[in-house]
Amino acid sequence: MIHDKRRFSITLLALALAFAPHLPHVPIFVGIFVCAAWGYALGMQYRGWPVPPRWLRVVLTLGCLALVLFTYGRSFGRDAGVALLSLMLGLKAVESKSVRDMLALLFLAYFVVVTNVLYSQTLVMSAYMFFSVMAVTAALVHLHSGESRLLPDLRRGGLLLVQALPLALLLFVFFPRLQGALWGVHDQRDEGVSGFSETLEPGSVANLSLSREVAFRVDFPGPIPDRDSLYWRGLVLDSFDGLTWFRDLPVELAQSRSENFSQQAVPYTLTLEPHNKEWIFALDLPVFAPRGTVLRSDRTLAGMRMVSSRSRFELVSDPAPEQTPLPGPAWIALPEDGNPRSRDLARQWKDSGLSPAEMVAAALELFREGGFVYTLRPGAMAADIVDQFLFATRQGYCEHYSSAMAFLLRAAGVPVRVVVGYQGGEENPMGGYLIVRQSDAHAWVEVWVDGRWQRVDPTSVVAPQRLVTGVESFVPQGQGVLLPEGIRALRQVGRFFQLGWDAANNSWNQWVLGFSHERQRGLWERLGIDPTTIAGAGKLAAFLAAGLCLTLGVAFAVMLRSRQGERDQVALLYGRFCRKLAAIGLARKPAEGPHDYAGRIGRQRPDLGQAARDVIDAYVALRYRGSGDPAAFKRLIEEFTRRTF
Amino acid sequence: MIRFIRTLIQARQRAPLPLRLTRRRIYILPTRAGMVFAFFLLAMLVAAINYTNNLAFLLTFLLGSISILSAIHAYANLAGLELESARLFPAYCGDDARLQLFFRAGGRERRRLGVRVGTAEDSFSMPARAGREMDLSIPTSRRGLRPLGQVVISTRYPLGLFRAWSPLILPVTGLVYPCPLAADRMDWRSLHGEGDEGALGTVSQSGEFGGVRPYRPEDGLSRVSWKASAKGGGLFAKEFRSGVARTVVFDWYEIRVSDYEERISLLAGLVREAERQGLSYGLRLPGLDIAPGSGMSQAHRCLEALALMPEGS
Repeated sequence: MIHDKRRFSITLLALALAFAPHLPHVPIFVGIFVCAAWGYALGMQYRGWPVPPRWLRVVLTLGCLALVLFTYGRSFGRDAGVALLSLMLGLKAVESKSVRDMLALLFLAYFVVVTNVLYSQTLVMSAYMFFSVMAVTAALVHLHSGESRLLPDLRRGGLLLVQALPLALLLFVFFPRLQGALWGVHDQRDEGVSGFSETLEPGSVANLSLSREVAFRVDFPGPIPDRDSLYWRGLVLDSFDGLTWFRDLPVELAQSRSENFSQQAVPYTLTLEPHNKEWIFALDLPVFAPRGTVLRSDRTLAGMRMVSSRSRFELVSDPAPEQTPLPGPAWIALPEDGNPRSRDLARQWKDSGLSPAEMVAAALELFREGGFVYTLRPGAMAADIVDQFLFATRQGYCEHYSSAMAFLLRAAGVPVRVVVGYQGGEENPMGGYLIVRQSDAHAWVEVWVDGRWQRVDPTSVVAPQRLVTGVESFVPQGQGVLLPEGIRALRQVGRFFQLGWDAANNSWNQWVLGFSHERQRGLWERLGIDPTTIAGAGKLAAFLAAGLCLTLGVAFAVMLRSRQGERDQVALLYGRFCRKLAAIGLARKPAEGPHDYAGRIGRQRPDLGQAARDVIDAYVALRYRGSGDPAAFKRLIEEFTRRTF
Repeated sequence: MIRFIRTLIQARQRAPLPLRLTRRRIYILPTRAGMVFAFFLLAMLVAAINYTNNLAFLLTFLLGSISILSAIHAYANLAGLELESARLFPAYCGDDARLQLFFRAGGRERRRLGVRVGTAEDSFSMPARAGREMDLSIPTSRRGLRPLGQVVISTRYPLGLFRAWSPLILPVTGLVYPCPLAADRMDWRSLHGEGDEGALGTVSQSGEFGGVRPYRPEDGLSRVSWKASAKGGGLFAKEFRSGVARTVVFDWYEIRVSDYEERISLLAGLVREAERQGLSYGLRLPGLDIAPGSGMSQAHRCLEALALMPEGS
């Protein structure tokens, strides 16, 4: 049966399309096994290779199971599940004989498509998943159509998908979302998620500066504030061990200020990419903690759980720092020894009676006038890094400047802390939102002056353009050769597409992937539905039912309309003509062709013979020869009817 | 009670010809594969809820919508189909009777429609507005009238998740001739009239060709003179010189076979053999006399009378 062979290969093709995205994340032996099994299954169909005996299949199944257990150990999670599913796909293909087996294979293919969402939900991957759903659907149609050509079945598969979309969207919007999971979801720690660690040491920010990966996106309802005022605070570091700044003091929680925040408070929506840490970046001082997060006493936000999936936060930030009491001695603590020259400098400041504000100014003056260079590659430093940086190399990145400044001020007895986060961001004109990338990572200090923690950014005096144009002007490129005009224009075009692409992805993330319980509630409220009341629930059900009826009704009407063409018009007219004659006892017999019918009419009613013959000749010409004018045919019939009756 | 319901259902299935399949006649239910798929979908939905994964939600709803729509497509594949005629041709008992169904597609194309009558089934597709004849072989087991029984037209197109079907009881009754006794098993001596042995044997020489005359339907296809007909001007039949062909009358009362059904079978075999040999033959049955004649219609008349003989006592 050549058709069955074809059907089998098309089933396998659909399966391969569904499986392809998994290839990078299944172990290599699984990929090889699946491909080999499919190849053998094809050989069975086309070359008559023998069916593997039952014992071999059992051994293979057990072997695969053992291999998966061996590879993944006892932590049977996502990867092990997908590996097992893939092995099953291979085995099932080898033992497939009947239509029912192929049906099972295609159902598995759908399942494989859905498991893809556990790995990637990007716009491209989602589009690919829809494509593979269509391919599998078309293969299912092909299995049932009895057709040898593939094209009509592809078209039917596409039609099904297109008709299903409105209904699927309706269900997507109205199907109630729950808050949280039904049961514990295993945290999948992805390797290689870039971002901060919990400490700051020389090189830790500079390492990020080359990464164009998006850290988060921010949507401001109002105008986007000036770039040089955008300081996204992530983590406050309070202790120093001579090399590294880290967090040591116990975390205290702060009260949300739900009211009395200043007029300059800025509302915004921040969509954070997963970084598998609990901290959340916020502009300046967040006024309150949104649900699922806490506000710490240092006015940073932290999630109650790790941010392991893309998360959306509605935030309000106040740029004005609040009054705080004098911090404890921990905020001026330093290691016992090390960096003697810096300590000397600090002591000089202190002995000359400078106020804390004047000390800050002095430190900035030092950076500005001391011949300091802002660079991504400051070179390695061994012991006494602050001394080395301040008095020897004078080359550093933001972590060097902030670390050194904090050291100096602490040595002089001024409470100071180091903040890591991001600075600036790129506005996407196509989406009207801000993209903050890993390369915008930054470190600065906050000094307790006049009863407030005030932000001081030493980088701003060394490399002011860093705050305006971003880090890119410092990234080494092309060794300072001026680029030709053409290449620069090309780059602009590339940038345009890059931003457009980011905007499309952002919309996808915001509207589809980020459609949460809260946003669903928001949408329902706008429709006047309050699902907590019985009336609201009824309204919701009515909405859903109405939408269901509408979409299904349209599909029904589309499917049941018959294609009335011109030829059908002719058939209808001829039918009317025959009925008229039947009324006078000249019904056409079912087996009688038009010419025989005309002959009989002529014999039985010679008076009608010629007129009927004309009508029938016109009908035959239209119907079988494809020539003639349907309108003339219609006139002929009307005339015949008028004359006869 | 059950019988009453069955009668009621069968009354609904009774359908005059020609007929058009409408929603009154079409039933639709998920197949077993459809049930399995529904279970799949449920599992996906639970996973999507648990992981609050919106893309999983979207894909699950998409697959669910596709399967619901496939029910509409299956229905549309069947609805509007026209069954224009149905004929059940006579057959000898034990042979397969030919059921000829003529379908019209109506305004839509039809994909993979299955027709089933009892154990006989077949499937077909056709483009929009096409007509198509389907032949099924219906096994027969006893002589007499044979109601066609239920005809089921069904489809699983497009995805195999739903099966739409239409059970029909058509006003079609076939005739099953008695099972004829094979010629070599016949006891020629039991025949009336031709007392001498081998009387029928002479008939085989009777095929002396006597020319052609215009064809009459009762002549039977075996007597058409294709050579003469091919020249145009209608069909001609070969004529055999009369007087050589013998006339025989098969008489129920002269058959020396005691078993009632066997007697019928024997007569049927004789009629078939006589027709095959081009004899002119008649039949005498209790309460019925069929005058001698020959041709398809004569054979049918005789065999019908035999088929409709009352049940033996």
